[in-house]
Amino acid sequence: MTISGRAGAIVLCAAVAVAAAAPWLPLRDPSAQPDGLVLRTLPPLARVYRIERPGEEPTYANALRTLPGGGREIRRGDAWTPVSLDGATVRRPLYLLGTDGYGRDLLSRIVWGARASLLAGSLAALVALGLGGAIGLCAGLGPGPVDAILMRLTDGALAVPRLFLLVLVAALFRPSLTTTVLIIGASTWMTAARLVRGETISLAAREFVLAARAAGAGPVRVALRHVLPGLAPILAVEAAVRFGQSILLEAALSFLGLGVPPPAPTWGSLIADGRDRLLDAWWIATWPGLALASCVVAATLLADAGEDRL
Amino acid sequence: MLKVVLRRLLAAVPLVLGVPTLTFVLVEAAPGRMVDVLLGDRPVPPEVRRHLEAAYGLDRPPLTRYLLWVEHAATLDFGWSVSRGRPVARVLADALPATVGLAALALALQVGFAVALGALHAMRPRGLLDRALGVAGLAIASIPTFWLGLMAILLLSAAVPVFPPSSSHSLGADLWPWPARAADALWHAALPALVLSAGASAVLARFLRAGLLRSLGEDFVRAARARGASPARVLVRHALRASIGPVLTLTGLSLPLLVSGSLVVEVVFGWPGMGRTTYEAILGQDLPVALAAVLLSTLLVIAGNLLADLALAWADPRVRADAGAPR
Amino acid sequence: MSAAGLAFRAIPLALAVAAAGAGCGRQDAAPAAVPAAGGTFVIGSTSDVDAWNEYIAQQNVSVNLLRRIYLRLAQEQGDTREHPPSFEPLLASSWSFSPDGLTLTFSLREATWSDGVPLGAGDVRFTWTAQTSPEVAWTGATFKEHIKDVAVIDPHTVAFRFDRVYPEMLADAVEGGIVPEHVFGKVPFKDWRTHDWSAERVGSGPFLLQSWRPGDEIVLGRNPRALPGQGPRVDRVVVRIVPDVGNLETQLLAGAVDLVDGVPPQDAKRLQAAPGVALVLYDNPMFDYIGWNAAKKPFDDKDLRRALTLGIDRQAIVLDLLYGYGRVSSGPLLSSWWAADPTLAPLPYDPKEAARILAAKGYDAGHPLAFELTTNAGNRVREGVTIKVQEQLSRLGVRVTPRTYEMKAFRERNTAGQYDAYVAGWRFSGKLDLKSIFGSGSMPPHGMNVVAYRSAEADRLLEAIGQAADWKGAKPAYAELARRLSDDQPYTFLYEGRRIAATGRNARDVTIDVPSDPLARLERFGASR
Repeated sequence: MTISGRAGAIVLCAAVAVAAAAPWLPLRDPSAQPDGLVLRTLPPLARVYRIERPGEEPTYANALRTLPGGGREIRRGDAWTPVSLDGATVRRPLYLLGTDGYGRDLLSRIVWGARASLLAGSLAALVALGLGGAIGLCAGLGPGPVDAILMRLTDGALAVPRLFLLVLVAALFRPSLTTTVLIIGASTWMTAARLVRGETISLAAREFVLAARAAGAGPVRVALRHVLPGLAPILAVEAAVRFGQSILLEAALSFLGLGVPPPAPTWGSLIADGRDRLLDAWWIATWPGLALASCVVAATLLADAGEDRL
Repeated sequence: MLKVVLRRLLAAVPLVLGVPTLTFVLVEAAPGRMVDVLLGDRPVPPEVRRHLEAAYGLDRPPLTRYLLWVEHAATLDFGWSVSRGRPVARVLADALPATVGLAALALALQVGFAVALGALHAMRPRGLLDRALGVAGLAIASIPTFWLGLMAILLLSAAVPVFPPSSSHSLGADLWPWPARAADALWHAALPALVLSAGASAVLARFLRAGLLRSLGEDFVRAARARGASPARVLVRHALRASIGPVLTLTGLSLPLLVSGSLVVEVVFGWPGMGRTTYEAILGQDLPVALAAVLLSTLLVIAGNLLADLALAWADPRVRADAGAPR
Repeated sequence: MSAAGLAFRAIPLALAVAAAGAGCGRQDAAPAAVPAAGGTFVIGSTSDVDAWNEYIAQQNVSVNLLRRIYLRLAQEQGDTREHPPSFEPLLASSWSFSPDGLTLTFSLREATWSDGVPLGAGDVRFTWTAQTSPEVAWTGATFKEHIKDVAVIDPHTVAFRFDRVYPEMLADAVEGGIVPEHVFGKVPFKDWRTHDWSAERVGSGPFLLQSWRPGDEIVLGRNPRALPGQGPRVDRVVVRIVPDVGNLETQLLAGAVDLVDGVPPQDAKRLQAAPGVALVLYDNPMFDYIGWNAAKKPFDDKDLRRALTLGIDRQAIVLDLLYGYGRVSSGPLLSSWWAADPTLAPLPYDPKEAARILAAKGYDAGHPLAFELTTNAGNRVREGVTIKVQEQLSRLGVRVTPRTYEMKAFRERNTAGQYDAYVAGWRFSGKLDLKSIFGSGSMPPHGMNVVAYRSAEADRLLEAIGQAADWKGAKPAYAELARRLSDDQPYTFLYEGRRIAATGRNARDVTIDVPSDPLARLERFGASR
């Protein structure tokens, strides 16, 4: 495998591993917002003050200062208030990637968002492959008219501006993870159908398939036992491409306010959250954007490497 | 040639009928009624409700409405747009030029970039530039369009104000002489068109690179080289011309993406085109507009593909040679 | 009046907010020199006009602009703190009530439509027939429900006959712009909803529609036949339509746009810091709330509702989501409104007491209270409320699942009672019709008592308010009702917001003093462009 293909595989594996391990990683609760006033829109690498007293809720502060007279003051948001630190422990928690507009930790939101995004991406890819594979297989093995009709259908579906229909469907039916996956999958099966049909036709002419047919195997058996295994390589490549495109589409839907609904974060909804804050808090949209783009790049690289090997 | 066009048009008929039918069924199957949105939570006498439904033709059964819609659509009457207060046909006619203009500019940029980048790629295959462009192109193609748009506004309109962040023309531009108006329109369209074309340019450039490398190895290019043509001339005059065909095909295939992408780009840049009109109509439950817009955008794509086919026949020397045209 | 007020027009309020000082917005940067008259004033708007007819339109922007083209008989003022708003003469020069109080007679000024046709009592009567026509189906027709007839006495005198005496008679009579009979009358009422009104450009106000590029730009020009003293200061008002408010802000900062109304609170500080930009704050005549489904266990228990309110830190919501541009509400009566009782304080934030009540009701870690909190998709602040409430109540062991529904589905679920709790808002317009929100006879489909609140005491007070002949008589009942609602907590009253407008460096003398009609002083706005 090429270096770039390997890099792609590593990035994707790492993303999946981190997403899967999210509950056990030492991360903050992605929906916790203990103190919006202090913690909202903290830039990357920001530290705040957390003043802990036994038996009490901790107090957060943006800044702590000692007055000339010896008194202490903390700043919460814009206002300074006097504070006594007797018997208190002062900690300085770090927010590596910063926080969003509600004061939620972006790092943990991106990690938890990876779960929904990667899940949505792979499920949508599966739906597309399943649908496209079935149609392609039927077209490739079926009699001429079936082939013609199915391929006409595929060509037709390719010419429909997908996003228009997606937006319409998403607006009409309440978006959820399931509907989002279904509508993305149901609108992206066409390439898979074309690829599978082509491959099926060439496989169907091969000796081992002809032999199986001669031995009396039925069409379903031929399709499942003999042709399908031969399709695995191209399906794998197409899966990688579809996966990348699906997370992109999910992000576009989220941006338009029609994706997976809150509170479950997806990368798309995280970017959408940051959209309104781009001018004063660029990091909210940027980190999830980078995470998303790198996974799509990785998936493309992997698909390219796979294609080269075919 | 004419036969090809006719066959293509015939093949498009089921699509043109199928897409609005599908859309209609989806709209009908969705929960909620349009009149509820119009009325809000205000308690109204049932009489008012009945009149409202009658005014927009919602009092008839779905099948009747569908048949009426088809009948009227045949005469380009797509019903009434509640969110714009005018006929749907007018709403779309107002928005269409903006979208076609933007898409045409994006298409031109896309092909221009692709050719330039593809040529740069092919100058020294597997060289540093080739690889760097490959990685950059891949990254750009993997960035969500809306994010690219937001970043473009952030950098090129807010931080360094080179381009206007939105709208399609300057204040009072209507009164300017036409060259100034044209320049103004281009200036406003530049950023959205750039964003719209970015992803597809990268993909096209990759494709073109492969085509160029293949044709650089072919006989007629080697012959040209042997005749003493400079490398640049060989690249541009011979190899590029040979690989323009697949690029045109791919451009044709990228049209649905372009039209889809215009939806997001128009929303981001506030471009008064079809994508934004449709999006706002859908959010405002103005379904007649949504229905007609889906149909119209499908037609646009079909027309675009047809044009791409024609252009292909015109541009590729081999296709022309096949057709017996003089070289 | 509209719940969840997403795209629904504010019908100008008779009971609005804003008064001197706090409620009143004024651009604070004083211009160095008085600019000459003329020029172009540019307004940035995220939505376009949906119909150039006030009786068809739904969008706020439509009504705000149409009010500058089609004048009313009188202009409502923003002085609502001490008494219901007063009215300044506009098309009418004066008005008076008959001795029995049932007839309200207006004397009209000498005015002409922009095409030179005189404006008269016939136009007023025609407008009333349109407003009440079921074929036009104006959603504000309830304003006119007590007006039995509008009679033309002579070309300059018109009499409104009411079927009863009540406090808001004047407000109801003047509601809605007067439209020209000789132009609008040519279109039969049944065709009004499918008529392109942008083609009808005969008006009576300071401005006329000059050109409209849908989704892009509206140009209003001056009306040469405007009433004396009504002529605008600028030659043109341009409305630029850009759906993204951030994009509008960028244009505001660049000086290309002079006024953006409805700036998100999180952007206010950044805009204010920019040179030349000034904020204009005014009271938004609306409040947001959480509605508890009292038709369903356990929300039928007022102690439990009270516990949930005590467990929600509404002040934190105001600070974090509204960035301080708002205040915690104590009940449905807006604090800047005469009927509000300033001595009634909101329930405190008291998580300990909330935990005690919840424990007494038998909820613990093993049997937590769990419910779904819904809101309409697309409203960022309300989505934020669901997220904050989830987080705050989780500290009490209550499991909240925030969920957003598309507007249509949201409404349908609510009126069908298929919900636990929802976040929405009421925008006050015309009358504060509390009976249709809290009356036990107003449950859907008869009214908007979606939360199924039922209280004999509240019904009695609502009846008393409805029967009062003037506002002074209604005031004690309002105060008592507010206390009742505070005790029963059919809603958790969240906050009343402040609306933020921002002006750019070329804007001059921008004043917003009637919250229901932010462009009421548009003809006095100036621009150095």
